[in-house]
Amino acid sequence: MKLSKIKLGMELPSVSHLVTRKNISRYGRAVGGFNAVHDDEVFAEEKGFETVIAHGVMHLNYITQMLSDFAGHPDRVKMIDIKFGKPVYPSDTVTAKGRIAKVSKQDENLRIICEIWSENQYGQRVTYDGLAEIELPGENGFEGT
Amino acid sequence: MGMPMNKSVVGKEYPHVSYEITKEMIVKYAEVVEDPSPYFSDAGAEILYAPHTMVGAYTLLLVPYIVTDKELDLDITKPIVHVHQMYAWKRSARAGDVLTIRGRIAEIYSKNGSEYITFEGDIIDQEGRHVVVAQSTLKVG
Repeated sequence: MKLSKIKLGMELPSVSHLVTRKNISRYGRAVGGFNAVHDDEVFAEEKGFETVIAHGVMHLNYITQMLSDFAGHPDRVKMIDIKFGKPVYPSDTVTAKGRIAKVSKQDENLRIICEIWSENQYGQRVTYDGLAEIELPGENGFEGT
Repeated sequence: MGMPMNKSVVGKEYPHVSYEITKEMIVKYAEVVEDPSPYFSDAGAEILYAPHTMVGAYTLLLVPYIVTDKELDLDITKPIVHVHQMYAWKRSARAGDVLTIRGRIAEIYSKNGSEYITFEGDIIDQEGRHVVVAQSTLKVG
């Protein structure tokens, strides 16, 4: 993948996914975990949720998908650090977003810090205050601000 | 309101859990999180990489130890919500890796009437090298 020039403040191409009840169940089964808040409507409502909620780590992958696609290779994604906000429910559309906040040279590579977050269809943040670090080969260039 | 968590367990380590990352697990995971990248979905590729959150997600294998930990005394009748997550990857996991999770309790604290517990996990490959460090904080109550 040919990367465009890196600029401070540049937004990463966003990634959107529609979350379904089926996907939440399938995710739980795929990782071998059972937690009633993801599987049992009555339990989830008793705990104060509208209905079952998606696993945070499931929709966190929408963010790592965005970062990995932008970086061009999985090994170039180095770190994410993020908080979970509004719960994600079935039928929500979650959009992962990111913006380049800092760029520095590290040996032959560019070390890029991005602000990251994700939103539901109402613009409410389902993750927030996130930072990510990715590394790109130096030949991608940096145009500054 | 139940008893608070026992703060003296900070630093406690859980039994190490090992598992193999198989092609089937990766393809399934990528399908469920709907990541179409060929790095994660092409089972015929020479190297099949695991989606980034997949390796961390398996720290769920520690959940049975945590919820039955009498020393920790976690009140699972309270709402428990995942509020913070950090992953630092040294490299991406790949099909064929045999990974070991070394998990521990890093921190327990109270804020605004809720309790918070932070777990840290080192995920190590078959050669004893770090693949990812994960830190997860749950809010209890």
